[in-house]
Amino acid sequence: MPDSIFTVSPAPHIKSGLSSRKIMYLVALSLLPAGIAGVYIFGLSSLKVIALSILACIASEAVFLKLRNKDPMVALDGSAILTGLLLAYNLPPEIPFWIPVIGGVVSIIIGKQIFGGLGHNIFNPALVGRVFLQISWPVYMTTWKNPRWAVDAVSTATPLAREGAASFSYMDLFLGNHGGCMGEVCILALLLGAAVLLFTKIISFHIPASFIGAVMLFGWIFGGEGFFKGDFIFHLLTGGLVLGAFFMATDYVTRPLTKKGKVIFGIGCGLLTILIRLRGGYPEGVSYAILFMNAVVPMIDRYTKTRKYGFVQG
Amino acid sequence: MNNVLKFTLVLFLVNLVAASILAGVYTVTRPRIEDQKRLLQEKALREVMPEDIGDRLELTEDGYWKVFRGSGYTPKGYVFIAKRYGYSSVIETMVGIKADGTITGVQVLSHNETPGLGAKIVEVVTDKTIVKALKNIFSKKKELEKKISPYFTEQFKGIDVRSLDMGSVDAITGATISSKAVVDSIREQGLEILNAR
Amino acid sequence: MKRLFHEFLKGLFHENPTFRLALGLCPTLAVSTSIVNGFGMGCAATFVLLGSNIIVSSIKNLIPGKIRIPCFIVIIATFVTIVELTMKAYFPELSKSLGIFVPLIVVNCVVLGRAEAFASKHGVARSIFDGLGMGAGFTLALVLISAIREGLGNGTLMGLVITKGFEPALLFILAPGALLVIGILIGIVNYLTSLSPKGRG
Repeated sequence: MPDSIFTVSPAPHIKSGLSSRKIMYLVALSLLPAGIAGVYIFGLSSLKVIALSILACIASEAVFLKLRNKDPMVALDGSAILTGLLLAYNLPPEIPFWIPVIGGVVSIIIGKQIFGGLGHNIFNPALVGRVFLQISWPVYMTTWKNPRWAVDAVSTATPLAREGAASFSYMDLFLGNHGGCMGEVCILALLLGAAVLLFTKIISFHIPASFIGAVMLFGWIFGGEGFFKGDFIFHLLTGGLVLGAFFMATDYVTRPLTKKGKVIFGIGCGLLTILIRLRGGYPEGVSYAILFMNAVVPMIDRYTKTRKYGFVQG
Repeated sequence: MNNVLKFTLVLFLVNLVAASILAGVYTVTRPRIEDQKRLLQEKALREVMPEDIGDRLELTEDGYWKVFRGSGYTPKGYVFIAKRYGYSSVIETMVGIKADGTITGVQVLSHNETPGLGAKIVEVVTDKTIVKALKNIFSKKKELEKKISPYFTEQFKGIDVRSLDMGSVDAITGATISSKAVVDSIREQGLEILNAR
Repeated sequence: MKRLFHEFLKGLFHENPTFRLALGLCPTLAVSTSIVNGFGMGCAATFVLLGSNIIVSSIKNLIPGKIRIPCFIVIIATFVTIVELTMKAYFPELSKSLGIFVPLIVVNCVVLGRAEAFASKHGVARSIFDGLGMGAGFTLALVLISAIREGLGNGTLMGLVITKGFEPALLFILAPGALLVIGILIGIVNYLTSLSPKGRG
């Protein structure tokens, strides 16, 4: 199986129904550990959010395909499910039921179908939905719930919110023992899934490595009082960095084609993430950073075009 | 005919006509514009310092106002401007206090906080619905319009500025940092002025 | 008379400055946060359009072609300043919420575009109707966009709450919401015009 996948993964412009479907389901599978961890940490309400989000995505995809006179069954090709899953992972675990529903509809219709459906979208659909929700209902989107075994289970600031920092140990952050979005808190589970994707060569290491590397580097340089004093491990373990770097920045449709381009893309994402985290009005910058870099992908591709035979190493 | 001369002449004439028209409009509107500006500042000051506490405001060298009543010499209260960095911007508020430290009013002058979160420090909630407005038009009994002011700063009224803290007001959900900046800056600035007198 | 009426109508629909010509989008994006703002901006722009169209069309033969653009700009700027001063004096609240965008009508491409493309080539009467039509089309578009944005983003129409319990999506009142709404409306208008053979081309 790795062989058959290897032939499609570096060339996103080749669209073959079967392979992309297989890849979509594999990515969704690799996201399972993080989901299980989320449900375990925050309780069954997170499961409800995941289900609503996926259902909304599939339903709106099917309706829109029907409107465009296409086969509505294409909605089950796995991409809508993946979008719904990623969107749910980016939401706080306890949130009014209509928020994941609206998020799913916006993701699919504004993020994907308006551009022409799978393969034509400029931006990562799940992130479009998430950012729409984040800007529209910031109070709900930043009301975090503590893990269900915590004494004060109502709401807390995410570690990234400036005053909540420093009260968490690295181990708590790594295992997800703190408030946050349901799919991004447990770094361990995310890394498990990421390892599967890397091992099966569905994703290459270029984007995640340069993205995370850049966040740690710039976080170290600019994150503290004075230069080179930032807590870069904190920046690595909090927010949606790991989820974003491995599962969302690497989306086939919205990333650059060449290795060199991917590295530029990753570094750009990292720099913007740190910039927004440290200076922006919102606590988390990963989604905005990836969306912004999505927009410049055509330009990156243009300047990192490969020669006729094989790749030029970056 | 010399083209350059012609162009210059036409442009000159056009500008001359435009300038004279504008001069006319300016002369007519200037007194009104200045009135409006003065009214606006007065309104802001009045908003935080009711007339019955003091009607004469005197700007001190330290940048705050002493409030006197009638021809009295002892200040009945103070109006000052408090500043503090909130979540993503400097929040500037104008505050009125009585001589005993009781806050008479708070108004946010400027801020650039996150929309929907920190920006709620100036949010005004109105209960005027479309249905109510229509009813008001068609019924003879007019409902009295309630004066509405931002609910966050409204709760500061009547609190002693020296004991003002996060416990004495309800912070805005999801915007603890912005709320705290307003509260802390007002307390500190108020204490400074009360201690200095 | 019928032709004059046609000049007016085309600004409303087939050559709507916002949806068909895509002119003057900056103020449209910036001030369409509430119906009052949108309507105020539309009226200000209509006044400037009408004034500049009248003046430009009546002195078009006196102005040498090479310096027509600077002359147009001076004429437009004069009208804009009149609007700005009047607004500051009599509608201070509106002037405060429209802010910098009233003086910026000077560089609004609708105004210069109509002066250059229409008024400098046609008579006074037709220019008046063109200015009125374009202004009305611009106002119509602004009010439509700001009604959608105010309704969805703030839960109010003309400052009146639509219904209790509705949680407005703040995005629509902010800049990205303006782009989204305008984009979707332009898409709808394009789709509708593609249906009627008259609108093509």
